Amino acid sequence: MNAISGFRNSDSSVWNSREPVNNIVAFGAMHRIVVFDANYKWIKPTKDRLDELVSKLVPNWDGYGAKPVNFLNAHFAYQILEKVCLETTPPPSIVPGSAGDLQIEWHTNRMDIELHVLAPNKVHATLNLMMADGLIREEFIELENDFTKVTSWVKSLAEDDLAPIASAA
Amino acid sequence: MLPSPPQRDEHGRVIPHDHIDVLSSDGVIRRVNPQQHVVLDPKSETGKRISSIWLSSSTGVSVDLLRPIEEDGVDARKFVTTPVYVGSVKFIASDLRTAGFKIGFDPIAKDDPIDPENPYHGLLWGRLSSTRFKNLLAKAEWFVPIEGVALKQP
Amino acid sequence: MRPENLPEFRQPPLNEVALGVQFTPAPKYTQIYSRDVWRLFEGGYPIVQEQGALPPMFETFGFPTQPSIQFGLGNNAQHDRFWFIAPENNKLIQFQPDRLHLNWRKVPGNGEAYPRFDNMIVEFASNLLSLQKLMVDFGSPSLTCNQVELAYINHIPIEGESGALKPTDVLKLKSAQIDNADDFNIVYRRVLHDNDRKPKGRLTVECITALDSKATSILLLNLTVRGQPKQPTIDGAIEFLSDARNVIVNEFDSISTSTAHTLWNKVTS
Repeated sequence: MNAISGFRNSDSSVWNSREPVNNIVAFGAMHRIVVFDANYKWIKPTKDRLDELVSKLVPNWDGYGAKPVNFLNAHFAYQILEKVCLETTPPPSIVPGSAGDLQIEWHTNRMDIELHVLAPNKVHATLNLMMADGLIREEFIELENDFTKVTSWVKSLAEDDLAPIASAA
Repeated sequence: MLPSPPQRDEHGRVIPHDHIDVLSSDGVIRRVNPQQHVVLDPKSETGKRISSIWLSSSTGVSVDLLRPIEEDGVDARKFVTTPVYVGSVKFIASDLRTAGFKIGFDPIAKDDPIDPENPYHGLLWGRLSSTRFKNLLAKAEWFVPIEGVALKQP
Repeated sequence: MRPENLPEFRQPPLNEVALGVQFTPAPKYTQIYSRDVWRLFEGGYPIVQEQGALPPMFETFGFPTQPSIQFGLGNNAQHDRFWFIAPENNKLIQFQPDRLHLNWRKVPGNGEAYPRFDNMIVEFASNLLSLQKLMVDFGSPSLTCNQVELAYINHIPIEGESGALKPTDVLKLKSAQIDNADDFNIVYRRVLHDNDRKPKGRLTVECITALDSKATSILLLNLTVRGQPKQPTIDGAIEFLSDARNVIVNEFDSISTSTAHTLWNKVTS
């Protein structure tokens, strides 16, 4: 979705906005305010980190010929985060894989959440949760586009009154 | 002596295999980029540890096979830290196999169009659960340590 | 094939229809080869323009949050988006390494009727197959389609030639304030599910006041369905587009009034 363009809800709609033949003036466009970015503390560090992984990670960064993170995977990761993060969610660590993949991670004293983005619509999600009896409950799910299950994990993370985890890099 | 050449598919990619010439007692090295592979974790002894994606890849996890490096009289620590890869971890092949990995040989020639030359290059195939990842690292040791990063997983 | 019970309008207020597929780029394809892509379509689309590439888009599901602004990644060299335009200026193929689109638009004054979805999808499927065949040479044995999009953009005059219709005359807008508003912008989104109740995509409906090139007040009514095909293949994409057409047409029918149905010549069986 392109909130900035205002009246277009389709990226593939092109003529309406750019061609002189059907030049449309959209009154509504000027008044739309995007507030999402302003308050969510995970957004800026995440964008910066993804930008770094896609455009600044040098080839062979792991010593075995690894590539930078794939552009599509980075976008897909961001669109997952839009659907699972709350305003209070701490910025995740984002770690590159060797094949253009990446992993989104949060770690607290009681929880580990890892979302391995192998490709668009192909995500391995793991939760490790320390129970009251000290035992670890491990949950692993393979996901495509529905991250509803992960929202409850991340919500628990935000409710955890532990220090937020920032990216190490 | 180098392991025997592996079988490759029509695209030149090594077919996943568990190489007979990689002995159970052999060392297997995996390099660590401290800027990319390390995450903060308050449960870790030092607050920093290696991410699990470091040992996860659908196309195989790259490693260096230690015995042939040493048999060629090459300084292994220097080899795996040239030019910039500061850290590395040593596994024993039998521990990797117990964790479910196949250990293959995938030498990379000098004229390879994509990957850097590495005659001792190997690949691991398999997928680790979080528990197996932790158990495997509990048996591993730093080959070239990274200061302030815990190897044992919480 | 048009489903039997799908509402049909002989004179829909359509201004533009866009079919699109997003896929994994072929590993060895670079912009230098874009001439090879144009060659596939050059016969019917002899005019070329260059545009900035569109960012990847994915419909994902979790908390019902609004999508944020797009973000750009890096300053690496990027492939352009090419427009291959038909001589009549009414059809367009858009190509970039991870997308192929087919657009039709109404050209004022030429009297052309909307060519209909069932014809457009045949051409689009053929375009996708041609591209897939070419991309084999660039290391991609088949197109891996990760998102599909269908958009219907309607221009509904609300004064002038339609006889000073009010917005609520044509659309079932509930607010009594709407007709007296200087302008408005209404957007709603709905998750679409597959037969297993798994989310597969999203319908977005956007209705805003606007002016066309003749300064006529219009309602711009955009209905877009975007999502993941069940199978990441061309057949999967075509199936998704067919389902998306049904969703859009049914939604259009249900939110428009009987007055509008008469105006747009709805077919009654």
